[in-house]
Amino acid sequence: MFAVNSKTLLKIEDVGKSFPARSLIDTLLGRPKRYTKALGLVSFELKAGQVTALLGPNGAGKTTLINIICDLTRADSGSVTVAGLPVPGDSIRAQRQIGYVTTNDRSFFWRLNARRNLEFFAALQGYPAAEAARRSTEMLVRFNLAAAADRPFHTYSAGMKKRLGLARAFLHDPAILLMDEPTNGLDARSTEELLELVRLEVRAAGKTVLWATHRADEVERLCDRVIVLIGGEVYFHGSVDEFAGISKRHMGFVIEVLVQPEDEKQFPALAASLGLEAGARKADGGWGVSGVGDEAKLSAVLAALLGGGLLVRQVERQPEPLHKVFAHLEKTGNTGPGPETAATTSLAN
Amino acid sequence: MGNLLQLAFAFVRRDFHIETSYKFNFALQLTAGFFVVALFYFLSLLMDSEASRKLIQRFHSDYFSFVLIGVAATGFLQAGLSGFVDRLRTGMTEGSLEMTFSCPVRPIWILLLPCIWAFFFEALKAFIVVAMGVAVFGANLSHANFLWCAVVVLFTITSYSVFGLLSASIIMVVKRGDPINVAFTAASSLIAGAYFPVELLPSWLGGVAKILPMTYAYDGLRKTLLAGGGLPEIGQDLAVLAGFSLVGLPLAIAAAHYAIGRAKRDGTLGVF
Repeated sequence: MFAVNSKTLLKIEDVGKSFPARSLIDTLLGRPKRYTKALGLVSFELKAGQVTALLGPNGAGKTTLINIICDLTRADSGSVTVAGLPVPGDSIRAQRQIGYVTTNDRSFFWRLNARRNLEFFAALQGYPAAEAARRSTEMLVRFNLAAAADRPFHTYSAGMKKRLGLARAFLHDPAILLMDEPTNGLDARSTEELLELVRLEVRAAGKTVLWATHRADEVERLCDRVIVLIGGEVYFHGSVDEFAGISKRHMGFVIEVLVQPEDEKQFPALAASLGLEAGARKADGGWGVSGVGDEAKLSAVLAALLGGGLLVRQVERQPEPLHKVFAHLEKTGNTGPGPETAATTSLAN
Repeated sequence: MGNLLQLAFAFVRRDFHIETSYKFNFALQLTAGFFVVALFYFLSLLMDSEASRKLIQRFHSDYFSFVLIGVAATGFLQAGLSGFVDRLRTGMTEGSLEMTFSCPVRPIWILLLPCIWAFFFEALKAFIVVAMGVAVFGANLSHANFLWCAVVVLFTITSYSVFGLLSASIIMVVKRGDPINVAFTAASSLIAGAYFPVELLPSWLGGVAKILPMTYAYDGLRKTLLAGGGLPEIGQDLAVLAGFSLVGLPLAIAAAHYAIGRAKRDGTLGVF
């Protein structure tokens, strides 16, 4: 999708993080520290020009990983390098290479207008006042906020706040953009607009992006690589096409069969033996069963049902919800049922 | 150095705009000192006696002028000190602190620079308090040596930054509860001579006053503003304040580094 060269801009190697979870009572009673694992030993690299999704459900460790890259949180183990600069060893120079879009709208100063907010953050990036003002104006125009530049941040809509977050991330022309669920809290239209804006800006600037999200549709729209993070572990790292292959293998189906009263008792057992989930029997004898699998699996199920003397009334295909795909990846530790593509890398366990 | 000045200017500009965006509160803060000045003026009428004049004779002043400097300085120093913690906590609760820490700025500046505005604004308020005392209630500052007063203020700010950084370090880790600020407020009011001369204290408490930097800050300010003192008169006060800064600042900076590192390890930098 985007031009890629071979330079590694972000290298994550065996990064692990657990957070202490000890209450005051534990401390007073001298109980040993308990820890909650946020990240296992996570490793991956991002090449220059790649837009990579960090896909995972809530609590997967996406924000923790991004915070470690930004040196807001310290890892327990492993190493992080940004454009060859170690974090936290050379954090200040590494942070100059990073544009960070947080999921948190409250990262701006609510009483200041958009222009003054950007000018302040430009100054933190090391620009003198005049240059900070020039760059801020340029970003406000670029992200369609020029007309509202002098309005206080607290008067902004959710979509405008997100756009201002993007403008701040682009202010210092960073080599890499870390975007933590930037569409969080947006309605469908605003999400669409933001994705389009990011796509255009990222494409125009040839930026390297790590896009943390729990939404698979954003991956397809924007990214060329996908890292699936579940429970702090990388379960998949590959191209969007490879990931789409997994989703395809996780297509669901619903079959309605006509079950005669005399077969009513045996039918649930038959459905279970075929790996199907049976719903409730309708008054007219129709009985819905659902399953997951590709065309071959569906054909095999249909053949078994028909072979058992049952009549099939209706067949429907439907995409499996992403959380079920995640759950399957978590359970199996691989890329799902069916043949595994050669290029797909499973890094888990 | 140029970069640091730019950065300092950016923080001051930001804080000025935030402060003045609350127009009513801004006006109220600048004028509210009037009531405190009036209160102490009437108390001073009650307190003015031969005995009190004798106690403060080294400042060549009356009690009202004496306490006016104490009131103005206490407001300035307390608010300046709490500025460290207030700015930090505001950043935590607003959510802007993490974003600031993600920028290429040395963490210690993120703690120190927001206090420039706090000290400046409190200095302005202290100036207004003193000006009202002189203009409305007849305080006597006819001998004031403003140049050396400014030097005392600078040395005081530096030494108070030790307390400010230590307070901020504690807040960075425990999030709420600032024992240093509480201790400072009590010490200034009771021991360091904000409202009465330290000579009134029992000898053991007077000994405690001698090891507190605020005692020398009050002394230096009164000597310059009331008695027109210069370097010979305030040399000892400046030396103590400078010595305290030289010893305390490296320790406070080390504490701040430890606290920031601890918050990063615990993942609680922006937690409040």
